[in-house]
Amino acid sequence: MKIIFNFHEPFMLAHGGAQVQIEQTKAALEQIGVETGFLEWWNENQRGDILHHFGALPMPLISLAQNKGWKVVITILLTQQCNRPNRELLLRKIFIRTLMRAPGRLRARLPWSVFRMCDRVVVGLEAERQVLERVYGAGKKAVAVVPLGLSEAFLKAGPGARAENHLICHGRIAPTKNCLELAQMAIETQVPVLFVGKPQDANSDYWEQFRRLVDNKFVKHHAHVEGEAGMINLLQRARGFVLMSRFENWSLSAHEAAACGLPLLLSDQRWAHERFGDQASYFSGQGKPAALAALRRFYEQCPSLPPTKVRLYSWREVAGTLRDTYAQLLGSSA
Amino acid sequence: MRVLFYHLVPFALAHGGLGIQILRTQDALQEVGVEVDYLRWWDDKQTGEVLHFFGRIPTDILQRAQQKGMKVVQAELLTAQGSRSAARLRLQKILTRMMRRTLPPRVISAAQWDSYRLADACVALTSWEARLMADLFGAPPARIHVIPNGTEDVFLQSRPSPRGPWLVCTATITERKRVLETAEAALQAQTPLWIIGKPYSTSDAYAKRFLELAKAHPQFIRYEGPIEDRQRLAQVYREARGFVLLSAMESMSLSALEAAACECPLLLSDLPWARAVFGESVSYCPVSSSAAQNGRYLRQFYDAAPNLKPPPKPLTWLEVGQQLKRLYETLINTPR
Repeated sequence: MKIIFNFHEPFMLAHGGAQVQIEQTKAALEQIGVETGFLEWWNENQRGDILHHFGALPMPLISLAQNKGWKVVITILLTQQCNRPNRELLLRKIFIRTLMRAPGRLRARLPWSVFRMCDRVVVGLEAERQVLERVYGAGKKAVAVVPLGLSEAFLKAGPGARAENHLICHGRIAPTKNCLELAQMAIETQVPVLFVGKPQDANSDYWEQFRRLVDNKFVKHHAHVEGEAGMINLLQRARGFVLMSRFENWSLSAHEAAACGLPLLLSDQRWAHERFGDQASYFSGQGKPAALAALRRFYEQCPSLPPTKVRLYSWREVAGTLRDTYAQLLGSSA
Repeated sequence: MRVLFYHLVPFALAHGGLGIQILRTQDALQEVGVEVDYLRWWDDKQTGEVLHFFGRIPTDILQRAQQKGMKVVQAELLTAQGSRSAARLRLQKILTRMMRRTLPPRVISAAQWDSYRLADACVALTSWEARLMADLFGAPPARIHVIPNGTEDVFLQSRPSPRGPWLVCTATITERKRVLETAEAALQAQTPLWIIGKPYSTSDAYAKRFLELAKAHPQFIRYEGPIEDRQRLAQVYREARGFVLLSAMESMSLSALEAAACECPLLLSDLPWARAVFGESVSYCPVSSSAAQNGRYLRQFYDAAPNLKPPPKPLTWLEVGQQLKRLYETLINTPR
């Protein structure tokens, strides 16, 4: 069994969760004896049994791969969709299902046909599986829910002293993460927050506005941390973890914080409830005053909050689940 | 100067002209002293000054490359658009404008139209394609550069041979190339036709129909698969009575250029790319589904071929490499 991994956004241009996911999944698959390779687009002699693509895959590519006898697996993030209110999802479902009644040739050109063409669609959350099935009409057997893993270093980390006076928020400094808004709230509520991460766009106004708020008192910033050990150290010393993204999917950073025993304050969204349930605190309630109050309350309660305890997965476990999925597709036992 | 080439359709899944174009362009650029690397999407340490994308680059990738200080060259083959009628192109332009005005930006961004506006340079193969890039997609005319495909020396330096009875058609066995229709026309006209090429997949229904037809009429349809040996292919063009390509769509057929380099008379579908490249120096056949009509044109060409003048010689890949090198140098030396 040979799995060829593909992703269209070059890692040299964008760092982020997808890179971690692909690199760790590939390494873990190799460890359990599954042969893998990166898709070398220029190599006409490259062969594989399964094309595992991360992200949206154009339909013609799926057909080309399947015509060559390859199975096609895609891993997608339905980050926004899975967090939308039920009412919006229903409207979307009606719209999409209506369009999907179009005649064959036209239907085949609609982007949602991809979910019916692929041999398997992999998502991380149950909420995403529900969107695929209910909204896009993907078959039950066509979807596999495979969690994201954590490295051994994080899994072994455990709680630390939590002696610093700040909360921590790590990840890209980007509008989707609401970092600027969180920094403004940190100043208003006088809750120190340490942001760890590079800007998504160092030339953007967003980054410039964020940078101006860094006062090293309530808004602290580390652009770079050396290795996992450095990150674990920062997490273990922080008072708690906060993430106020507009939308999230699995959020590796929230899981890393949980692995380091931090209490979590998260956006009140489906992804967070599915993964952390009553183990986390949420920015619940409407409007800015409620969010400010939630931040202040969480900060004050943090020292007495127990470490977050949820099921965390190793990349090896993730690889095992994927291997079963691949084997099923190829009609052999794992 | 280091240039990174990037393309999203893997050669392992789809063979064809674009693959050859990319490989030959890379060779030529290296010959003129430009370092070219294929972009390895998984390599976060890879660097380059220019990102040359073959296809329509996703706008977010383009912007990230520019944020990293790279210059971005977009080279999309407008194969389908370039083969549409004037009326259909007008309609497309109107629809595009309407969509831009009425649909939400998120929906519009999926079409990646903005890449034409934002790229540091757009490379067109023909003047016709250049016009479409500006007209349909709003590429700034000053950033559009017409740089055609080249042809390998093995074809340009091939020696004349006595011409034989076979017309030759070199193409992938797929609907767009209308190989089956060309074979049917050859049967109708009773003109011997040698098809050289392979299908994307042997299980493809269209390819199967072609193979059955070829098998049933070996006296008129010769099919032995592709010819990988370029020297041998040059010899085939040299010995052919003429070259035929009746595709429904093309951007700039490499096989037509190769045949032209071998001084083989050409019969091509009457499409704008062919008029832009060959003008009146080759024969044309309207794109039609009528085997009888195609047969008439084929017969006419078959009879006339021995007395037709050879088409003009195409550029070498080295000349193409030099043109691209000049473009990259200009981009690198021009602040955005």
